[in-house]
Amino acid sequence: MIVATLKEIDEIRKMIDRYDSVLVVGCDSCVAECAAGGARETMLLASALKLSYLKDHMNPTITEAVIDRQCVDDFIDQIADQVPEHDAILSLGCGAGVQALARVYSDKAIIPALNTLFIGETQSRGVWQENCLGCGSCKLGYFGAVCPVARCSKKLMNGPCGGSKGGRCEVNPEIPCGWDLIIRRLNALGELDRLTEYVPPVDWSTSHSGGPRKVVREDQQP
Amino acid sequence: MEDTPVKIVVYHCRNLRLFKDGEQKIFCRQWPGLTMVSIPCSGKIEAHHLLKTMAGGAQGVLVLACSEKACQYLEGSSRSRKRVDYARLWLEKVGISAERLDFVRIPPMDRVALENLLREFLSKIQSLEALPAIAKA
Amino acid sequence: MKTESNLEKVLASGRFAVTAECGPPKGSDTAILMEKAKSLLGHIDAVNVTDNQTAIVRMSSIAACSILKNMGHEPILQMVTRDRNRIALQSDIFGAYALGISNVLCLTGDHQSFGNQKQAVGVFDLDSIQLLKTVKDMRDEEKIIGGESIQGAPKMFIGAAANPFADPVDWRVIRLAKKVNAGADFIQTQCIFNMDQFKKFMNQAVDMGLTEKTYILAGITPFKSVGMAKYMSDKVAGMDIPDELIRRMAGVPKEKQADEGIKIAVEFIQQFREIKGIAGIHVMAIEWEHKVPEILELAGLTSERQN
Repeated sequence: MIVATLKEIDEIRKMIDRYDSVLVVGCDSCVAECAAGGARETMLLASALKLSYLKDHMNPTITEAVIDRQCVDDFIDQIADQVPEHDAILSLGCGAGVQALARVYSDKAIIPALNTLFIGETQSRGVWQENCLGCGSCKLGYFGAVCPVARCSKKLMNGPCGGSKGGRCEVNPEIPCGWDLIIRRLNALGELDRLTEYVPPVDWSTSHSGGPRKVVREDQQP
Repeated sequence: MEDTPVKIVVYHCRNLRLFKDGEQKIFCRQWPGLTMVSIPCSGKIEAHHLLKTMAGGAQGVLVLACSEKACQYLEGSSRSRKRVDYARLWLEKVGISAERLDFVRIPPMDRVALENLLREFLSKIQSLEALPAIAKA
Repeated sequence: MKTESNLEKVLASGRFAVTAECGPPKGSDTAILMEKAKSLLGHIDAVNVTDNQTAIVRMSSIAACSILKNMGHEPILQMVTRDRNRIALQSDIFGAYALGISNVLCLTGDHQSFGNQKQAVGVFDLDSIQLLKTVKDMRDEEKIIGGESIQGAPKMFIGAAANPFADPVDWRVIRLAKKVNAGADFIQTQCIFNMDQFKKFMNQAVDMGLTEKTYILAGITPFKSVGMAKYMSDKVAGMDIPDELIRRMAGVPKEKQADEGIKIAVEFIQQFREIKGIAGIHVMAIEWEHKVPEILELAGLTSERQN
């Protein structure tokens, strides 16, 4: 899923104070799972904004709406009736959701309420871990299903650096050393031999380094 | 301002058994401005409910929970504590005193404790500058 | 001989080699750099010039190497993959060699979060082993990454670092083997303080035949004070300093601590000479370069050089 966090309310206020009416739109997929932009957080943020404006004796119209996915037109269309009544949309979608809304509602200001962080998993309740960088050429099969690109702070492909200590990364002891995880996994699987081979430089052209990427499937098109 | 009763909302866990059938309505009549909301477990309450209640015009919100050990749903009471704390954090973010929101564990069926608590909470809220009323759109 | 490197000549001759580290200044003042380097001149076989060490912006390693070269030093260009992509790295290798720099130490580098530019993007296009292999292919195959041929191969003597103390410890010698197989002509180790662990590491390296394929130079850093020992133990990535050493430093009065630090370094150097497979030492006397000659003299390495 895409993992995000809510922005601070002051930053959001700076972006939306100029509007008299704001439609606060949640997204009930990825960002609901990471408790940043689902129905709950939409209610939370809309209420917090109302209180915040109340405190400043301001009274903009703040309306709540939630759609299942802000990155798919079929769902985006569901708020079509509400959009014209508002000056701006405050989106609790990820960066993709915000931009999709802007494409569909091209004459409307769309403001992000989240900081989109990464592709990750819900590791335990209330804990989300980054584990994919979307490099476009998955190598997990060689690394015991632990990604050296996403889980190593230096994207090392040929083993742990000299800063790995007690299974922790040199950058921050809160970060598990990705290479420690890789070695443990492959050791447990009896496949450590996979790591003795030299891994040549990565072809980053399939990643964002090759420019913004697009997938086109004719069989899926109308 | 003195004439308008201070609007207070209390969410209380059903398992505290504070009221028998019909008693809650009668109790509330003695406390102008008070709304008591019975919930299946204090753990059902979340930050967005609390913020919405505040944004809806409440001057103060109380969450009454069972003791941690007595929680029928095991984790409910400890979870609601964290959620109230999170909601308090949000109040602070928007510049509203977190004192308007409180979480209290009381013994079951203890109406005296409830009344003492309400008196205390009410006087605390009255000591704070009233929040501006929301103009209904 | 693979290269015209003087360091390679010394190592190939079997003489116990001495290299030392010299950090460029945070600025363009060449006088500071030359002052530091002057105290090392004539005492060592080659000088490592650090590349924005601990991610702190300093004078470029290539520029500093060139200045030291002109002073009569044999520079070892340290190159980290943190700050440059493969285009810049390969280009800088060409340039460095064109300036007469014939040794390179291939490193990944400390993470940018350690330095004074924490907001910087970390490049890490290549890792240290990939850089090593890249330089080797440029030298031996006369090709850059992707296989295009080049005009004028950089005949560099190629080094890599090894940290025998990082975790997972069992993996360290495997990583060393990877570096040797990728083409490391010489290895400079992290500062050695845990001698027992280092001996184990060296035994493994000898057993795997690695010391026959590469020259290993043991890293040594003299403590200036007990404070420095503690700081390195707590704050510097990849350090393993036994409490016993810290206690020894703490056990002498403040004004004698620098001498004690030097004494420890000398004892360690003497022990390194007894370990099979050690071809030399690499002295990292951080902001204490002028003490290096004294340490080498006390360790009996000066007269050996002169003979």
